[in-house]
Amino acid sequence: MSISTQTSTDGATLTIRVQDRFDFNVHRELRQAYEAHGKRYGNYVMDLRGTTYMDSAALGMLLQLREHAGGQRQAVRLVNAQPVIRDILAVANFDQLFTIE
Amino acid sequence: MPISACNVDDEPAVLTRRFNALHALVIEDNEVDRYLVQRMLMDLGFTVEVTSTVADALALMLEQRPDVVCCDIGLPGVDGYVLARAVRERFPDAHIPVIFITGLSDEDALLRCFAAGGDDVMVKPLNPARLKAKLVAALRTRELNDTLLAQRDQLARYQADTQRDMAIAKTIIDNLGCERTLDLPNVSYHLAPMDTLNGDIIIGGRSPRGAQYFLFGDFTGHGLPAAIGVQVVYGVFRAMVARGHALEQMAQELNRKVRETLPRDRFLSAALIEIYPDSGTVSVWNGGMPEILLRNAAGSLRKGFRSTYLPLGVLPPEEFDARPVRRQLRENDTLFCYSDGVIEALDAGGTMFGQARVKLCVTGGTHDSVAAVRTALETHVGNVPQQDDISMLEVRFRHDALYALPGAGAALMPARPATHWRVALDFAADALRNADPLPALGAVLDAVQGFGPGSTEIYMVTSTLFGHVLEQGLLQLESGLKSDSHDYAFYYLERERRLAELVDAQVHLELAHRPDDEGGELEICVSGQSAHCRTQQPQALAATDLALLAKLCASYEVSETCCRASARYRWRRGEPAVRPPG
Repeated sequence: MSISTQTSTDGATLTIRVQDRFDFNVHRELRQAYEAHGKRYGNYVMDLRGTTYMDSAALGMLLQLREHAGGQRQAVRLVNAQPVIRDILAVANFDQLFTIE
Repeated sequence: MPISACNVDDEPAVLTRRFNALHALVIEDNEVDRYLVQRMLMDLGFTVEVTSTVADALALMLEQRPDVVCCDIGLPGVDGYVLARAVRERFPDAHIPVIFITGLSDEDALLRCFAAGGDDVMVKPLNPARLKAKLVAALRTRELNDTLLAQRDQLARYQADTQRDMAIAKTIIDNLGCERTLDLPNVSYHLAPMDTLNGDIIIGGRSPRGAQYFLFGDFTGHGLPAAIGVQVVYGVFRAMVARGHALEQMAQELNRKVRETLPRDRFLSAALIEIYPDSGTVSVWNGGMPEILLRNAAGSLRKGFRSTYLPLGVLPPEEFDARPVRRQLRENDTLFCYSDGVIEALDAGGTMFGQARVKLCVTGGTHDSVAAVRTALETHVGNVPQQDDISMLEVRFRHDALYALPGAGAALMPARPATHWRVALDFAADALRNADPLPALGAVLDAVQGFGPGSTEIYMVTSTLFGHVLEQGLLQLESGLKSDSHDYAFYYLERERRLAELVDAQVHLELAHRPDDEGGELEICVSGQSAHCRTQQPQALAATDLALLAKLCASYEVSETCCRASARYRWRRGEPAVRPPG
């Protein structure tokens, strides 16, 4: 299972981890991960610590998550990205849409 | 049929199960046993055919395919093992259960039954319940087999359909002729799709004004969705280039169109490039593509064009920023664009090719960078299968490139007789801020005199005069800044700022045409009015603009304040539309 989720103790934040490859193959799993609870969280965190590869389909999935989260820049945070993933996010200028930490 | 349908029979179902409409073939030379087996099968609902030899059984199988075969081993002439093999050979796809009925009980004989392809062995004495149990088990295998076969066939059909659809899509994309637009003397490129259909796209174009345009893009994903995206983008790009729209307008329109047509998680990472061969201005809008490398004639890299924007189709039109980065090109400068498939290509050890290697290949000399990167890339990846679409484009800047472009040399001035006409357009400050009047002009020239591609020079002259009156006259920008690459960005930022503040101003554009002996003469006149124009402060024309007017026009005149500029342009019927340099 390359996607795992965790809800913060106050229930306001959903953290999603993507292990290894973040590409179209995890599309359904990721969607299920943030739609499963049938509600919208205040904050979403994509923890990319274990992500080793990311393609443009994954960028598209982030756009979908952002829309699900309400479309604000603060709604989705991308954290712990490794340098190679940071490069991909930088080339796409995703810092204009997401908070990247 | 789902597999679960034949997976498990619950107990009552097994006990009461009947085999109506199933056909059994019985081969048994012992008359009593033959009758018993026939009776038991008929009681279970089978239609039954009986015979005592393998030869007869084979003949019967030709007429009707049995659903199950019950067969004695020791038969006169040919034995039951031969029959089992014959059943497998005759019906290679349909699994027809073969149940051996035998008096033999030694283990070797039992194993030989299975080796010959039998499904089960029923050791005499015959017993209806045990026979039924074996039939249920054997037919369960058969049903599973049928399900697998049906799914296999369905998959094969899907695959064939997909391949056919992909082939059709590829034909359509090929017929669009993206690659033909790159058949240019100052361009080299390489497109290596991972699948049949390419998610990367490179298109070239040439505006009526003579500027070269390129779109270098990478769609999210591959296959059909990307191919459909290519269709949309190609149409918009080619049409806008042909109408002479500026890069900003193209970026804006492409973003709107991609966002409108593609689902929200799909977009187009793209770089748009505009090069003016006469002035050497290059404008680049880069949203999501790797840095475009800029190499000078000596082979060293200058500051390139990094991705500064989100890809096309991500932002709504009101948030989209279409402002390109502008620089000045010198003779033999090259622009090198490449898709992320180049950077991310892995070698056998899992190491990416990387940006540093790309830069190394491009640096030095005046060689073909596309060929250099391709060679290095091939060495790097070796036998590792390709993971992504790979694309590269190199554009070399040459002042004479404009004249060498296909279409430009071949295009002729109209053969139809010149006529008398006059077109005048007036623009107030707000119109100057929000619109580029020149694309509309192309349509007028075409409709009235049928200039077609022959309008290039008229376009160049008109836009030079127009730009001059606007920038030097109304906006009081110092033209000297344009020729220095350091001040270049400043010039255009300043242009934007002053244009935003411009009030109480007007530009009048007038084209008057009349026939002469060989073709026609067009008088192009641009005059501006603004507070600046009334101050009478002198301004100078940029050197490149002067050279252009001197070359193309029979005569030209520019007022000291630059608020009025005019030129006379002559054309001859049937002559090449663009005169070669020198």
